[in-house]
Amino acid sequence: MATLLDELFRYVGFGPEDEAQLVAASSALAPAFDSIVDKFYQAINANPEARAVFTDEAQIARQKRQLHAWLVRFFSGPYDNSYYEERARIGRAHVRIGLPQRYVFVSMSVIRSGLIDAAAACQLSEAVSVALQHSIHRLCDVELAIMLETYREDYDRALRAAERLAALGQFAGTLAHEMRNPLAVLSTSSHLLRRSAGDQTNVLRHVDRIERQVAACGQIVEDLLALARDRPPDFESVELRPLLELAWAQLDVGPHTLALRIDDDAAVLSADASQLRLVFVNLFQNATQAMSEPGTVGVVVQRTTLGEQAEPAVLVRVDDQGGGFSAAALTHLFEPLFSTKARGIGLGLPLCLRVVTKHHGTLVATNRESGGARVDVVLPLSHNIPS
Amino acid sequence: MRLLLVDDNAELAEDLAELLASDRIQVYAHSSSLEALDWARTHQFDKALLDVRMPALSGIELMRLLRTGHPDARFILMSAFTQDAPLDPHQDRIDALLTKPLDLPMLIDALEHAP
Repeated sequence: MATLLDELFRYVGFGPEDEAQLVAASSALAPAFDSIVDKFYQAINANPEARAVFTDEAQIARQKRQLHAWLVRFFSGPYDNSYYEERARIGRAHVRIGLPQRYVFVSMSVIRSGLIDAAAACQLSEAVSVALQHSIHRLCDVELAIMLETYREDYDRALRAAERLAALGQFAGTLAHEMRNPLAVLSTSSHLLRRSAGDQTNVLRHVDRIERQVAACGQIVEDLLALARDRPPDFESVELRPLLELAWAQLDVGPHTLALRIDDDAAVLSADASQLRLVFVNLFQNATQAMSEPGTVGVVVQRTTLGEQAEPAVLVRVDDQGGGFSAAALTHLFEPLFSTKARGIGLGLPLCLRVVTKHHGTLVATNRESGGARVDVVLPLSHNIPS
Repeated sequence: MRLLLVDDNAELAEDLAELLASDRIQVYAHSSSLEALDWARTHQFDKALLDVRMPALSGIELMRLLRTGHPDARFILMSAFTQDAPLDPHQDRIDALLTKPLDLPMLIDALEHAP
């Protein structure tokens, strides 16, 4: 079966001679890798928006090692499916951290010219040097195509998720409404049962239980309706602390605790309070359910910027101490009906993403170095939306 | 106060009748809008609590028919369907439109404070 990589190689005319060419030059070019890596990150550092994608120096140090390994593989192959997969994995990481596509292009240009300069500087015959440079160009072009393919994968996935969400929304609305009638009977009946139970504690205990479960069903119904409703946000000035505390209080959090740290200059933003609360109810619920031992959900709220205009924004970071997301979960997290939980219908995160998107914000899920899942919600501070 | 209660979900009608009945409220519950219409030809009531979506006659149609014989009666409607909300309480002269599952304190408040 011809793979995408085969197709790309055929297209640019990259064949066994190119492979041999690159592998033969590997030891001659290896000394240049460090300076190419340095140039690559100098270019990033010089650009605030590209720099913003990276969170800290440790991450940059890691990325530098990765880029070095990437260059080694560029000149050693084998240029097979595992090569493609390795490259695509790096591309997907770019997509995940939200690196704009144009930086993929210009970064590849930095690498390309670094390699061409290094090749030209080698003591090679004119013919060999020209051939080597051609091989470098071809493989760089294929690398670019692979990177772009990962962006397309992501776009397709988002499109599929949106279509699924729309179809599901209609169904969810009907289902939720139909469930309201039996729920109404359950809740009035349990009321009556409570009234006639007197002080029979055993009966009351079960009535409590029924009422809690009815309330849980009611919450599912409301989530389904929120999904079906899909209304535009009603922007107002929202204070984050009470909103986050209310979202937490709304949940059965078991033995877990909330550690909330809010910077003063990030405490108020323009948002739809009820939609936003729904986002954090869902995120907190996921966080608490991910922890099998009593743990802490860490929430940090601070100022940040968003998008190309570096718009003033608020970052709400939700960290848990659970097992983190699996690789499969990270890929499918925002697809409706995908759930890793024994309980849960897989609507929470797609809903969260939709609300955040409607607020012109971003929602990114990752795993923390120290273990546990991290969800970063970035929302613009104000909505002076031009009409 | 005499309350006419109509919901095609017989169990809900029965539950609500039991919950709402008190010294001050006599509840007449029906699980069919036609049956309720029939009952109302020979009986008086002060307020009506009607489900919106019912077979044969919807709560809204039932309300319009009941109004002819009972011009002073007050109406409260209830529905599981939020899209029934565009029903205009003012234009339709209803005291409240409640969504299911019912918030009991809110229902009792609507019953007692409807003028």
